[in-house]
Amino acid sequence: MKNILVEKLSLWQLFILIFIFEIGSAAVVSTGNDANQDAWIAIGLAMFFGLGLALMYYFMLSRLPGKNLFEIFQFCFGKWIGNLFTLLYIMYFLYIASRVLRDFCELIVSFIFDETPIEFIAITMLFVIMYMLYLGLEVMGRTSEVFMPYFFSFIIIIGIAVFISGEMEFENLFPVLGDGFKPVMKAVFPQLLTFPFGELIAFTMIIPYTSKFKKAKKITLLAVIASGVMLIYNAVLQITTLGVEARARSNFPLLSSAREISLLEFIERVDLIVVFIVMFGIIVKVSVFFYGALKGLELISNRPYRMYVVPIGTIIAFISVKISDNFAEHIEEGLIVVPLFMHVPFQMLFPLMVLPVLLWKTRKNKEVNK
Amino acid sequence: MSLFSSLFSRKKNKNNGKPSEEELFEQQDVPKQYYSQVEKNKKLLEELFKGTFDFKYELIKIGGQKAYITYLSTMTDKNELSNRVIQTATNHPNDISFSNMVEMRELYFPSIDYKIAENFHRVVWGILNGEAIIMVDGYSEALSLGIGMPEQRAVSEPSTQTIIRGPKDGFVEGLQVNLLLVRKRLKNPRLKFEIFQMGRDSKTNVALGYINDIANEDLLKEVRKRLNQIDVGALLDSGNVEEFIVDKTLTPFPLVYNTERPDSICGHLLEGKMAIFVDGSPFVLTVPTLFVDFFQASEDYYQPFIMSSFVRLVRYSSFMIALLFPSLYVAISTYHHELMPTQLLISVQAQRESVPFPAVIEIMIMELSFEVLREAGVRMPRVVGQTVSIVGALVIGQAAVEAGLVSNVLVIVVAFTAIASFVSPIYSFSIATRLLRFVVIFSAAFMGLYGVLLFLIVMVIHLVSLRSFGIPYLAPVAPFQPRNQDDVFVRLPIWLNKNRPSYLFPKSPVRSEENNQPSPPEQPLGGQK
Repeated sequence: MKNILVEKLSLWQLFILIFIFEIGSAAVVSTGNDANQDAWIAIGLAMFFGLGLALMYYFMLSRLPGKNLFEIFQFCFGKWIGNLFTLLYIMYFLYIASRVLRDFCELIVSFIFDETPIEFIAITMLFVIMYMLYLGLEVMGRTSEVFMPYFFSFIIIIGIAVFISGEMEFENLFPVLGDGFKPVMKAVFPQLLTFPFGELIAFTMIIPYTSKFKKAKKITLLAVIASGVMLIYNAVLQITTLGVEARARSNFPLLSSAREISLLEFIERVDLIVVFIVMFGIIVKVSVFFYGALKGLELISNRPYRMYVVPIGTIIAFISVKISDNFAEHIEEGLIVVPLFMHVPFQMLFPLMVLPVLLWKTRKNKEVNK
Repeated sequence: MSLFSSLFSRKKNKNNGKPSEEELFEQQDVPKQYYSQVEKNKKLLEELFKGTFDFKYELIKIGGQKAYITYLSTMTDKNELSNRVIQTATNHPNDISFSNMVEMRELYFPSIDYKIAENFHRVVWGILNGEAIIMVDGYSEALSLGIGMPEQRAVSEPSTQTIIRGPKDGFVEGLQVNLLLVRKRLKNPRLKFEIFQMGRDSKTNVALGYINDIANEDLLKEVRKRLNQIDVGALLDSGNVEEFIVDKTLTPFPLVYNTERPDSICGHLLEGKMAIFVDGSPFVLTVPTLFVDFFQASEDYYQPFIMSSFVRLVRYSSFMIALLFPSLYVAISTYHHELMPTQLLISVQAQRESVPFPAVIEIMIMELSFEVLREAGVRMPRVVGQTVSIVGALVIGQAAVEAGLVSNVLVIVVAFTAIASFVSPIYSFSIATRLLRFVVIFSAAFMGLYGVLLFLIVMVIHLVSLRSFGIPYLAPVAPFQPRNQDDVFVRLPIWLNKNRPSYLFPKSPVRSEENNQPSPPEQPLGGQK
């Protein structure tokens, strides 16, 4: 009874989850710096490739409706190899979840509570996330539904407020493509394509649980486009406000831009709003990865995933603290090592490997059915 | 061993569901057999009601037979009893014969509400409900005449939910009167009231009201199931029922709506909800209940829609103020000075200069003393009310500031919070914020604004996980239902509100189909020249 009630996601909730997930940490950490003033073009391009990735994921899921990625692995390679793949993905999801969490801890520690140890932030955040996941996927969807209007309007408002404060300089955007396409492509691959857009792989664990699976394709693509547009808006905002160099130097360009806001000599220092955006984005992002890992454990061990919420949560908190010694190391790993050696195989290579096997197996199935 | 068996028997009892009134009497060793010799019955009754002064019986003769009229003198109307029952029975010629109780009733008391008590339990039940029982020698059943009308408070204006425009009558303690107040407004044969008896010792009447062709059948089944499961000593107020039927007890938010206003009950019934009336309580419950219900007052529908929409937005924001204002004060004045404009910061900090406590202690002192005042204000006799309010205003307002215990700004914060917390039209909802406010103050004291945000997110997670009779508590906001937004944050004109809320799955989803938007006449009046 409870399972039937809880584990279904409406299309609107799916849209919101993807939207917040994509913007989540990408809006805060500086991305696409290689493309200089053309970072927004790079994001746009990455979005188009991201649509391709999303289509591929959906295509895989649609061959076996109602089964998530890990179940597809088991279907294709049998129990043992499937479980091996699942285990690898679980570790990947957990690692990314801790990385995302670390982003947020660093932001809080460097901007708001400079004397607070990051362990404190990591643990308190994890409490919230564990509570939410314990209550289930549907609660996650509905929570995002409640916060979505604020999340969306705050990002828009920041841009408008910076503009009214007169801090935007549109010359910063020129020359468009001054250095040609090379830096843009360099920014797109592997960094931008994998960092917000390729991470959609985690949704292969969620899309099968939407109430109308057939329409999920359209919604997913729409959500990717919407979040891409939002990220472009965000990049333009940062570039015009801070300039290319200050943006590249700043750890959290959105926060730095928001600090330029000064309206009526009263509305100043709206850090709280940015922290809220980031915080909620991070919570959704960590939860989605976390949920993927939990579902994998559920599949492997045949026990309800709620059992694993607390133990795995503590592991995420621990990894996120121990992952690197300082912020520079963390960002260096995140922008150079992780995209190439973790994102590319897990987001593209493995799915591409699975795809032909899946096609062959499902075709055989259909013939048997005939 | 006896412990085990007692545990086992309790469990068995639970499995069988709530014991009916007959079973209850059996547990209390009330005999069931009704004898055709009245003397035997009289003896049993005397045995049962031994020791209470208000149990009375009169020996008369009906149709040449010996008969007893028994009743509780406290529960029956004396005039009715002597004029319409005893006099008629004794004045009638004695030779009229009748074959059963129904016939006798037609001959003697044709105008009185009656029941046939076919066993002894029914007799006892009738007596307890203020009926006069006539037992005639030689008949195997008794006649139970409803003549009792216990004293009741007159229908008056509700004391907890006052309004400016709209009907002024409110529910009272008597179940019959309350049902009448609803029926009077909804002249609909499909308006049904089902009666339940609950409470092992009190045997309270509980009525479940719904409109048959609107209310969802499955919801109705669920409500009936939960009402039937209630097994309790006594029900003294609808609050007792509420605690038995909620989906989740461990939450500060009320999951069942209660009101004293018949018009708002009617509104809920028309949406497809069910009302639960408890005898002896002027507060009527409606289920399922949603978060947004607590921001809708019945007056919203009686005044212009623009005004009500505005007032509704005021209510939502005052909910947030009542919840967060003190904690924002604590967070900003402790951790985030930079968020305040410089001038304001200087004046706030200058006032806090002389205060010897950290902000959180300061605000806890004030909030706690306010809570004490509030509780005293509710409980104390009306006569001394003045004293408390004067002392309270002086102590909390001026003296505390002048003594340097708290700062002026803080008094404003606490006072404004207190006022904002009274805005909710339903009292039981405003006490939820009262409790949560302390949680968020502590969270802010430890973690600043980050703590406030954490609290808000946890609160929303909790809210969306709640359900009232299976309906998500935050519907139609989460899950978002665009079609049901006409009466949530704003109230659209009543002629646009054509559909009943679909989250309640009503049997007939449409209220009115025609486009009845008012418009000026197409032809100018008075003819054209």
